Amino acid sequence: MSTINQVYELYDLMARRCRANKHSQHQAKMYAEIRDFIKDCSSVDESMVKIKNSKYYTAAAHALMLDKFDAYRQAARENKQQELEAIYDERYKEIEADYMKSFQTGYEKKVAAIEKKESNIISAFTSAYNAYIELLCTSMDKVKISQLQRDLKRAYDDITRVGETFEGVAANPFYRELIPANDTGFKEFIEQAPALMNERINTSSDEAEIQKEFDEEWKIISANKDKIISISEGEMSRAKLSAAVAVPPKDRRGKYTYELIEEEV
Amino acid sequence: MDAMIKSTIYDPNVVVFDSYPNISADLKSEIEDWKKRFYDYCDKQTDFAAFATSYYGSDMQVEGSGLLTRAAMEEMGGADKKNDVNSEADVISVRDFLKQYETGYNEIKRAGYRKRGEAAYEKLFDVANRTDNMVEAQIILEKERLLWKIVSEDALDIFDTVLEAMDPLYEATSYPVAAFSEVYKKVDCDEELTYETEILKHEIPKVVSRSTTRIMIAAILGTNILNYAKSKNKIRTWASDRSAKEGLSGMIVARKNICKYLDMLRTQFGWSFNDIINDEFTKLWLLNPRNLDSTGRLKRVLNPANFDAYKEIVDECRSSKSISQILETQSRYVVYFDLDRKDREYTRKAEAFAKEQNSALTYYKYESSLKRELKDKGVAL
Repeated sequence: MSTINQVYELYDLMARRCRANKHSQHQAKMYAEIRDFIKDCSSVDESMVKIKNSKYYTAAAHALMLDKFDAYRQAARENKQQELEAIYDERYKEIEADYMKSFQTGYEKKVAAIEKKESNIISAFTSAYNAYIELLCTSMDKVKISQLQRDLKRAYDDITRVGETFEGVAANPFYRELIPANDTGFKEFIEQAPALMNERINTSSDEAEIQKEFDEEWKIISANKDKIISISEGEMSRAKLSAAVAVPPKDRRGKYTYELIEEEV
Repeated sequence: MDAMIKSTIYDPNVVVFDSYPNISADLKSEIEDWKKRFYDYCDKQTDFAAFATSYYGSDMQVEGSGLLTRAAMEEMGGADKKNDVNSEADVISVRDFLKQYETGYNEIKRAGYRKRGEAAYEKLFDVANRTDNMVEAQIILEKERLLWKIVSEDALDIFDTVLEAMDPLYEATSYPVAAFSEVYKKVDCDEELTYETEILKHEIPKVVSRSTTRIMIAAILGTNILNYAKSKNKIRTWASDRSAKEGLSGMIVARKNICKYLDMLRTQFGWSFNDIINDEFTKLWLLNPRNLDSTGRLKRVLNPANFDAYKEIVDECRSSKSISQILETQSRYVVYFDLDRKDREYTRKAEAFAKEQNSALTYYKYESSLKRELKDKGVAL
């Protein structure tokens, strides 16, 4: 047979657990109130009837929903996602005013649209950066340079398409953190990328420099062909084709081991 | 509605309310409203396996479970006449109350590998052996967080099983799984889970993006070094003047690219080549890795002896030596290129090796049995 003390203990336990968790404060308050509300009841049955006839009948479920949307709202605030915060704030206030609003749907679509937009910007901004750094270390290969410029332009356009600007995205600390560049490198990226995607990259100075080096070196190595081949013989006799399997460590502190190393002469 | 979803999730969760005929009209109306929304919710689902996993712990399930608790409490506390109460003898038993969780239990048991989840459910059902007092049972559930644990332990079964089958250094893939696992180990209730997962969802792209850029940086260098070595070999072997010329031009361009790359590393990241070659994960991407299994745990790579050759090439490229001076000096290390004639045979051997290495992992045990079951049903992955 249940006793009123057990019911009191149950609400007290729930109140104490919720009080200890910063995300469960509405429930903590509500359970504590219910606990005190039934304190003077003489039986379980009496406490149940008393709760049923009071505002506490749906209060626990209401408090749970408020805690949940408060958690969403707090996370959005800490993530500096203002649009999401506004949606969750509106939801929170609606539910606070009327518990039955907890079961209304529709806000999820707004949330999904914001998350989709953010995901598109992440993808475009990181693609732009990756194309940019590859452009920085590519010489001569005009096809590849054009391809990288197109990648950069596409990423830039993708950002514009969702209603943002490249500069605006770059100024947002969240998007900045996607890029592992230091501050100097990041500043150069922001300054140079818009020009790099549009201008015709002049490879002629590279070409001239490379041609000059080629002409000078060809003269020397073609004159020393026999010597070079003889030096090469020892080296080429060691050259083999090979493959291996990299086996990962058990945790992040470990190292790869390389197994099944196979060679082909 | 999908027949499996109807028979294993929808029906049992709706029928269970029939055990409480004496509840108030208000609660009955709330339950009827929930049933309608629950029907629509189930009706929209198309993937039974995914739904069975996501349903437990969802808002809909939590709400249904809350209504059920209230129904049980009302049965215990009174009938629909506000001040007329039934005696406790008429109240549903603890065992019957816990029966609502059998559907979830049977589902995870069928999966075979969700042992933590199974244990959590079994501990929950064991409450019926510990007490037949409904309030005392709820005190146990609250003190031991047994209802929360059937959600968190089952999630850990999934995250930790997948994580074990991943390369822990490959953050772009392993970090999201590892981070979710950590969250489930840390949190104690649904609203805390909501907060932590929202924070995490915002953190994951940063880690994944930075890891992916690091991979790309290493891969660019790996390609340039191989181009340099290949061009050098063309001169070394001197098959014809034409091929030697191609080799020379290739060496000059690749060297220029490597030097530009080193400048880019310095200006963009403040790194040197040593930061790449001394980082256990990043340097792997100099070896052109290719996945040998579905989670990318084991990878086929070029011979790791190449690391020494790559260091030598980078030193060579940034030295003041001319190409002809470089060619007149014998290299200490040689670059091993990928297999040619033995390639196909090696791929088979490497895949078999990966399969054997992964065979003890629960994820791969489950994956194989799933594939087998599908094959028996005439479906090939």
